[in-house]
This record gives sequence, C-alpha cells and structure tokens, in this order.
Amino acid sequence: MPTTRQLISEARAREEAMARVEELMAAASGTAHDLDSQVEVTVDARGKLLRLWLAPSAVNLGERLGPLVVEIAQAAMREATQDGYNKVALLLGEDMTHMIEQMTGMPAPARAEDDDPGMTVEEFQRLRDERLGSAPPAAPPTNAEDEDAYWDSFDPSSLRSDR
Amino acid sequence: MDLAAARIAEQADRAGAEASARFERSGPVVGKAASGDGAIEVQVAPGGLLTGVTIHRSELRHGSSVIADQILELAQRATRRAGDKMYHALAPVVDAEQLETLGYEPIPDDDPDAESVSYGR
Repeated sequence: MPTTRQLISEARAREEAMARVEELMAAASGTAHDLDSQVEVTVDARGKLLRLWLAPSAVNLGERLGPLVVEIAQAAMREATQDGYNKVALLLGEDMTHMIEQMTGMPAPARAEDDDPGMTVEEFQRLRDERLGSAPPAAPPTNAEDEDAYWDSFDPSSLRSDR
Repeated sequence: MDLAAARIAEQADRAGAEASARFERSGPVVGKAASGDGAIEVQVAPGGLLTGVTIHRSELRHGSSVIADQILELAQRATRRAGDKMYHALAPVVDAEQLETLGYEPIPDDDPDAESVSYGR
C-alpha cells in the first residue's frame, strides 16, 4: 500500500512529465518528399511549414505544383506527429502515450492499420546492394562432393560447449 | 489514472461543445494569404498545415526557389492569421495562456500581417 507521500510525489512526477509533452511535441518535425523528389517539405507537429524546397524542374508541373505541395506537407505532418509521439513515449512510456493519443484524438500514424510495416532484412540488403552498385554476394559453391567431404570429416567435439 | 483521464476528457468536451457551437456559426477556421499581385494564394488550417496552394501559371517563370520562398512567407502569414482567428474564437472559453501554448496568438492591429479590416459595417 503506497503512502500518501509516495502518491503525492508520483502525482508531481506525472504532472512534470505532462508539462514536458507540450515541449517535446513543439520540438518535433517531419520531412516528406514526392516520388520524383521535386518537392520536399518540413513541418512541425502542428503542421506549420518550416522548410520548402522545390527542384528547378518543379515549375514544369504547372498548376499541379500547388496541390502537390499541399499533399507532401500533409505527409510530412504525419511524420512529425509520429516523431513527437516517439519522443513522448521515451519520456512517459507506451501506456501514457496511448492515453495522450486518445485524448487528443490524433493517433500515432504508426498505429494505423494500413501503416507500412517497413522492410524485411532481405529487402534492406537487396536495396543496399543496389545502392552500392555491387552484385549480390555470390552463393557459396554448393558442390555436392565438397559438402559430403566436409560432413565426413566433421567432428562434433570441435563445437564449443555452452557449459 | 482512468479517473484523471475521464475528468480531463469531460472538461475538454465541455469546452469543446461551446467552441464547436461557435465554429458551426463561422465555418472551419482557416488562414489565408496571397502575394501582392495575387499570383500565389496559400490557405492553412489552424496550426499552419497547408490546405491549399494556388500558383498562377505566370508565376512559374520566376523559378522554383523564388516560388518556394514566397509560399513559405505566405504560409507564415496565413498561419499567424489562423492563430489570430482561433484566439478570438476560443478566448471566451479557454485561458489565454493555454491558447498561447497551442500557438494561437492575437495579431496586433498595427502588425503588417493583420488582415485588412473593413470598418463601418
């Protein structure tokens, strides 16, 4: 059973933590760009435009440029919201962050059902190889004879004991 | 903890109901700004998220970096205007201090970002 003193200090700690939420959300930002990297936008967690970069070729988009900037700003805001919640969760923990999300009616984008689950290790490795311009590592020779010879001479006692 | 959350939610609901009644009369709050010649128009939601950008074709010849700088400048002005509207809409029901932490601040009348007000209506 916690003492009154403990309850008071817990309540104070929670109050201080809540006061920092605003600060953390204010410091959050998010950046997004379109597929062709013609428009890049950075906004804060409230959506305020902090930076806008347009490639020289962006003027060729004509009247589509304006709506594209709006679309990218909205994507950047989702990034900023997530960035803010990530910072808040580090401070207050997952449960408290979830409560704040419910109170604000602004769930973290990563909780969305259609959120991109990210990439697998294999996918990452393939993209990395492509980026570095190197061919994927050649598969080790799987010569049947070599393999048999290996297993014939294999001594299980050569394995390190975990005891 | 659940109790605290419920209490905060209830307070927010009450303030929210009064505020939403106001917004129903006035429509959603937006901030708008346009370049001197009207070739670029920017509209934002309270907080500053871009909700509309219109760039007239004639403006495109100025090049992308000029356009980007102008949109940024207009977005800042529109954001201040949206904040000013929010401040005046919510001031009767929410503490000024809380409004300021939300980024909603009034624009002084003599500020160049203040919207031109038509008098004598």
